[in-house]
Amino acid sequence: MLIKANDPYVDCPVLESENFSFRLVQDDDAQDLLACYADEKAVPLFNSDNCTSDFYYRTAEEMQRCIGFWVREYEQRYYIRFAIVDKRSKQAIGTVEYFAKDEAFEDFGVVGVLRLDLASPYEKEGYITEILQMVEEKFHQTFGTQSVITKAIPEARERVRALSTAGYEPLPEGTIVQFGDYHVRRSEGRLKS
Amino acid sequence: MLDKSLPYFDLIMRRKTGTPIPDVPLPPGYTFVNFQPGDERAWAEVETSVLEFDSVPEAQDYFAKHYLCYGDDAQRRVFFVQAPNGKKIGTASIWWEYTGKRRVPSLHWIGVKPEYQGKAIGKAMVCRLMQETLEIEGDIDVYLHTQTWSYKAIGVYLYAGFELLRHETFSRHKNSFELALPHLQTRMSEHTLAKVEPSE
Repeated sequence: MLIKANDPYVDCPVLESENFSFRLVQDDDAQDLLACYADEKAVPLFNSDNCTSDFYYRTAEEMQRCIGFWVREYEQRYYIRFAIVDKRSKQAIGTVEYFAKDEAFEDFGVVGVLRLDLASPYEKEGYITEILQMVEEKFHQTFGTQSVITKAIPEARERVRALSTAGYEPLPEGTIVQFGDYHVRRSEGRLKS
Repeated sequence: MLDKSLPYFDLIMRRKTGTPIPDVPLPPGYTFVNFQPGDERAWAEVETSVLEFDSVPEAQDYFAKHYLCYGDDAQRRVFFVQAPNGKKIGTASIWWEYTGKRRVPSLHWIGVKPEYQGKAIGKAMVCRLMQETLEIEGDIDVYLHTQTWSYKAIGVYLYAGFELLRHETFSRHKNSFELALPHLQTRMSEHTLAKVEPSE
């Protein structure tokens, strides 16, 4: 379990990139996030490995229940689910989940697991690259990680491009996680690449 | 075509997130098409015709070294305007550069063959390129590097929603706005140049 002076599970940080801000998801996000989680183009690209839901919701009530679950999981220190807020529209357009795995891995150190759920209008190489750069710049320090893994199925072409642009490499199946289609990025200067 | 009668000074332009993009149609019969493998020579011919390179082989070599090595990105990010006779007569690209570790979308290599200039093809091409940029990158800040020799193109970029930056730059480009401005003023109207980033 992560114990730090600036413990994000005690005081969840608000992070920023050029076009987005990232803060703990909250009940009020339900209506905005329904546009993302009812988006038939977007949901098939989400990562539901090890999850209890397929993340496809049709009503604000379903979305609210999911947000309540995420907040409880945060309080239990399992992970942080950040809402991604478009700075221009002030609307939540997706979420980022991140947590540090308990164990360290040879060649990778402490590994962070990233999930990125975006409404389909935001599934663009430029937006995703910006979010991945924020992850690289801010999450390692916040969560004490040295590498980050995330899933992107081959059909998620924009995501796969952005991962490659941001320095991620395909992770051989069975390494770190037992699922397929994961990509990994080692933090610069901290581990061999 | 570059006007090398002016002194050369670097300039930086930016289209800010959310800036509207005008919809300018190409003249009848002209089409906007993606780069396809084998189009390297067409690209080189356009860029050589506007004096960006001394020869077609030199331009072709440059394109191969700087663009073809990125998988299918050239097919996705390099465009042509094709004339009714099937010839590629203009080209424009949306590429990227790095400012520190930050990846910045950037327009590259905009050109229309001299014999096709004056038909508003460049204006339509840049506006269409910006629409493609929104599809590829999302609605984020886009930069370009240009110079005093391209003052005609600067007018097109201003029309398409870019602004000239007084101080800021991106990647490793110089910005010599203060030195360039007096020379631009000899060629461009006050009205056109009004779209400059506000003074700090």
